[in-house]
Amino acid sequence: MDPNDISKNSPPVVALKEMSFQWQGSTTETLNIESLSVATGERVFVKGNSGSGKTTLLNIIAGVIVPTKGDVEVLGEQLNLLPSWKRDAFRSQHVGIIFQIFNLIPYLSLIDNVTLPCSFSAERKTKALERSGSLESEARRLLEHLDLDLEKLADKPVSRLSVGQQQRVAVARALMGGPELIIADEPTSALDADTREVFLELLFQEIEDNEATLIFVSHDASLERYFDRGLHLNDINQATGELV
Amino acid sequence: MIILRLVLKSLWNRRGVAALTVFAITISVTLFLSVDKIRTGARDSFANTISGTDVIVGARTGPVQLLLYAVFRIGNATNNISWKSYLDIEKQRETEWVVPISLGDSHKGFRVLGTTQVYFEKFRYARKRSLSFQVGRPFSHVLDVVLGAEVAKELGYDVGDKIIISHGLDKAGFTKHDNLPFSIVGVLAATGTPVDQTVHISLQGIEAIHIGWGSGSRTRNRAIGPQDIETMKLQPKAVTAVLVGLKSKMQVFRFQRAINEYSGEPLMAILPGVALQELWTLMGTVEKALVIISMFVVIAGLLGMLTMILSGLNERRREMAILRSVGAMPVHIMALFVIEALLLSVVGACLGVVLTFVGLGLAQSFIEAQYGLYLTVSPPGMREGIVVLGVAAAGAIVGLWPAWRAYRLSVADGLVVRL
Repeated sequence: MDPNDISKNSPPVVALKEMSFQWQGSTTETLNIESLSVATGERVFVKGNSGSGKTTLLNIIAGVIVPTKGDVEVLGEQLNLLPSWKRDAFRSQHVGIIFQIFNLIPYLSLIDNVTLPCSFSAERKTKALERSGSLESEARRLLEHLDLDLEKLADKPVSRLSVGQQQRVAVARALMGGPELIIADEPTSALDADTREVFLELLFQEIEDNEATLIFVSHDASLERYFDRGLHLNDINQATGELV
Repeated sequence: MIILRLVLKSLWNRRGVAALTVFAITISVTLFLSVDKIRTGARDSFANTISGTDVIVGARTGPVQLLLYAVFRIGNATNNISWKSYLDIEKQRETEWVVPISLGDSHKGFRVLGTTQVYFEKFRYARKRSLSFQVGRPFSHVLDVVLGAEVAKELGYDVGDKIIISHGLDKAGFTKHDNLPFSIVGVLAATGTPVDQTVHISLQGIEAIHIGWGSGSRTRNRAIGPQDIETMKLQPKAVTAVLVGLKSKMQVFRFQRAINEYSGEPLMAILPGVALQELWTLMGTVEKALVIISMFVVIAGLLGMLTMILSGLNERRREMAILRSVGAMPVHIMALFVIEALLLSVVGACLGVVLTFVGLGLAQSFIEAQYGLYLTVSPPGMREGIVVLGVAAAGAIVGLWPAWRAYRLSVADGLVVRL
């Protein structure tokens, strides 16, 4: 897939323009990005070492924080102009997030963990219901696609699942109700090499089925080859200050 | 309401600690309500130590002092009332009945009260309840004695036993009226009043044991024996106080004035209700202290809850980040903690109300029999509702602290928890 082709046809999913971020009380910038654009359906690999500002970047794209200067546009919505509650609502409707580890809420069942986003977003709930009739069957559909044996696992406390299983449940949750943008923050770093490959395959498959866009952040350059495009945060981040 | 569901599931996940926290609040609220019940019960029973008596007459002294020795058997009379004055009081137009009281002797630390049989008929306590006998009957013979419930219980006496009365109030009882042993003919049921600690004998009995006694010791060598009493004329010369029932309550003040202006000797008439109230205000401090202590126990219960929530806060930062990632607002995170605190305290308080009423309901008859304290156990009402609301509000306010910290943490952490 050629990203340049797509960007001509539809507006970018994520567009950062002359954006910089500085933590309150800090004298130096953490992030300064002249321009960054991700097109619909793209799978982008963002390589960043710890301290490169990738956490801040993720928080900005997800609308948790707003840049100190410049614009951040996601799915045509200028997030830096929205109040925080609208950004929360926006995130809940349009963005699915997968963390490095500890993705699941320990006191919720496997199915409840997957359906959680639908409790915060009516749109995602509607979409899930349209697709499978009930939230539980949509959750089961996604989990089965991700090769999880529900007969064995559904009634287990989620803390008893293996890390690989937990990460796949996290993918199912991120995809639940079909958000347009999936952000994954080092989701494979806790997996061994074999599971990592299987995990990525399943992730890509599901992203494609859902016609979603993927921003995948990792420090592991060996993964870059699986993606449409790779960005190196160290190259695009022009923040001059010492890295925090 | 997703937040409420999350709170419930999270608490269920920590049900052991949560149950202990609720238990602590339950116990503290139970204590608070019980203290409140017992306090009102004690106040009522105090106010009802004596009832049905319109006026108490004694030698001129302070009203509280007269009340203390005539009703509570505390302290001593400064002076007696002569037998002539007693007869004059009885002859007053307004008088319906009189019960003389003669104090001054004791038995193993319990006061001896000399009176007439009218005492058993007319003495009332706790909203016009009359004295009843656990066993036996009123005294009819000079050397008969009727014990209060506690006297019999503590000293292990029963009807038919013989007791010796000591002169004066000295517990060691060096000077004993051992020439005239009294036999127990009755034991009164518990009343929760000083009657329980009183040894009752007739005025003639008091007179008999003092024959041959001067001031505090035997003056004559010849001690009289039981056989002598039958032939003697035992005329009381004085009494300590007189309980008076009037024909009409309207005449109380006129009667009081008549007594206060009595020309024979300086006398004083008091209205027991008024004097009791005066005395209770002295004890009000104790009552307040009890309430304050039990309030602090409730606060301690809530602090236990605060500790539990705060100590779990750090562990829950990842959970908060996950919730933020699926679109929870920081306000939702705050609500998570406030609702948790609210829920724990409401459940704790409600269980406390239930426990109080079940507990007091079960213990009611036991407390009445043991301590003569009558507790009214009515179904939970306004008062309990206010306590539950108060504890709930206090719980929610306590919950604001961890909630605010969680809010700050989740805003600072965003999506990635840096531990």
